[in-house]
Amino acid sequence: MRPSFANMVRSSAFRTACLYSVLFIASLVALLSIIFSKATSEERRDLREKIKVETSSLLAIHRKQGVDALIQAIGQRAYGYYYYAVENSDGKRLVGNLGAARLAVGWYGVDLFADQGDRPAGESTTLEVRGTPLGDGAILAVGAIDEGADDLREFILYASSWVIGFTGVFALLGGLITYRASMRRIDMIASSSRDIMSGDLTHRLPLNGSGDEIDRLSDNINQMIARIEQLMAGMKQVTSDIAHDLRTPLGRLRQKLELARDGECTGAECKAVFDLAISETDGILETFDALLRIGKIDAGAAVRRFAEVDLSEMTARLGESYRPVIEDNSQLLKTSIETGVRVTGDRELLMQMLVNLMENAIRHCSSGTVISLSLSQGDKAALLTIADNGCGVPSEELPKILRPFYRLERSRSSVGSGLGLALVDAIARLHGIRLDLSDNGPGLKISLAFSNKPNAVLQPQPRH
Amino acid sequence: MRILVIEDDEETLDYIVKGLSQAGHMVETAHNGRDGIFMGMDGAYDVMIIDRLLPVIDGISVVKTLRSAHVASPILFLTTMGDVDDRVEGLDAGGDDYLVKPFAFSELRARIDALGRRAPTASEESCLTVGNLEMDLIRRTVRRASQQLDLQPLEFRLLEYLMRNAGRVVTQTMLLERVWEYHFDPKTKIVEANVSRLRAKLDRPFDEPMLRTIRGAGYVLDVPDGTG
Repeated sequence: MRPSFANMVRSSAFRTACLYSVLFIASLVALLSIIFSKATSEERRDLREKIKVETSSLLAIHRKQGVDALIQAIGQRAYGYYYYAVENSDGKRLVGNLGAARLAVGWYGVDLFADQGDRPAGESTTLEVRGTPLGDGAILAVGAIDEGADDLREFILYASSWVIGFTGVFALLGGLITYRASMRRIDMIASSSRDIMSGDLTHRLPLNGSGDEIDRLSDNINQMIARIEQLMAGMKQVTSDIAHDLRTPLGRLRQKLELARDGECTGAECKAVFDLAISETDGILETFDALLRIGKIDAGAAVRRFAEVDLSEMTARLGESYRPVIEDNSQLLKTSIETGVRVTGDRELLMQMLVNLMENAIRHCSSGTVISLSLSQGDKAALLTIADNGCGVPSEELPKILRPFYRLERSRSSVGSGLGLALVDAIARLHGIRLDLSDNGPGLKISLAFSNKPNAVLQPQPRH
Repeated sequence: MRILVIEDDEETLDYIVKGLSQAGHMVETAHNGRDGIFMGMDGAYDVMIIDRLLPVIDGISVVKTLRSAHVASPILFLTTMGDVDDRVEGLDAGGDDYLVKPFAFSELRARIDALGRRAPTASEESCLTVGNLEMDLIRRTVRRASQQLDLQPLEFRLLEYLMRNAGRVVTQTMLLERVWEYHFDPKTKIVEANVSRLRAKLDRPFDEPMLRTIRGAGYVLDVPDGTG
């Protein structure tokens, strides 16, 4: 984003700075008003006290010596601190310097120069006045100039305007500085993310090490990019593996079709060639089918179908189904299956997982091998084990055999899509099953620890 | 049998029509869901073969419409949508069987035969009889020529399915789906191995073998002449 005034005003940093300065100014004004009203009320109380004392001394004169003495006394006292006036019952002013307005009873304010244009500059002209009845309809008023109130009000207005002015300027400056600082970081992040979008997944967002919210956000995004990079790399690997893996059967298919076209076979021979071609095609379709299945499982939609599954019954049936196959292979099956073991999952996928594990053991073991299938309910999890005493897997290759299309050197020529254990791995991850591969000394032992908590099951596990 | 095929892909349609006609069936075709519903409502077909991804009206809606109009003909979905969810959806909509493309023609034929000649309410009886073979579904016992056969639970289920479909070719895939509930293709010869165990108990002690292997297609439990 280009730095411009409009952009700055739109930015959240700037807006926050402005909002805070408005709040600050408002609270200052409120504070000054409270001080003002407190101070003026103190002043006024003092002033009123003085006016009351002066009034009572005049009232004493009036009571003892009458109106004339009062007027005389006022005449002597005038032009001092106080202002006076006396009106008779007809409203006629008898004496006084308290301006022209009619007198009233009680406290009130009088502007000394209310009728005149030429008020003295810089001086307070507001009087605090108290009117007192003299008994025969006449009124005595005593006033004094309310100097403090005006001075304070002026000071507060003066101070407020400076405060508001300064705060406004500082807020603008602060907003600008925060805006600049955050824009610099956001621009850096934006340019990094453009690099990443253009395909460079090794790029990462810059961190300044402060651990603030932008840093934490960037760190999270970096982790996300790392995961995407990993997934992309996995996908590229699988794509090239598929291409490699399918070249061989497609090549064989092509040879057979060529052979049949060139008429180098006759009758039954030809049929055999076609049969082989069809079985090659079936093999290729099977590979695609397995890939699709793995993709579907990884997408995790099957979680919706999860229900309680009787694992004991399923395992027993597996043993029953495969015993003839194992015996035909001159291998031996030993089973030890605890009854009543139940787990949460998708029946069909769990069945496929068990079948793949069983067939893996059967196909990769020579005759005479003992395959053992056991299921038990542990404290924390149901434990299913398929083990054999066959040739096993070198320990450094153990973690790799779950990868799609991974084949041990010695079984490279054997049939199979190379996806059987990858499918097992995907199903186990979906169900939150811990899959352990270990050396059975000799042979391979695969253990599946089913989680007892259905909730844990609902979280697809990350690829190991 | 009179068969309706609703399929929009010309090549697949040709392949199905040619194969079914050769097998002696009368085949009629529709190229989209609307025509399919129209024809399905009108004629009494023995079996309908319906693709899922059809123009105008999709296969699932076609089947739902036909079923809500009380068309009772057996329906086979023939589709590329082979996921578990897809299959469950198809069967829930009123399909009787679900075959995923690409398929072997022998597989399609066996399934159509099984659907078309299905006994009306075969699941209720307590006893199945094929020739001199008797199965008591309640006591879980099997006798052949009054001689008790000692079958494992899996062999019993396998024989039950074969007896219910006696006289018809049953493919390996059909057995895997119905007896094992495996909707995937195991790599080992699990069906052959188990059928051969069953055959050892069913046929070896007797002169007349009943369970025949049809090469490249499947198995048939023969119905002796004069019965079934």
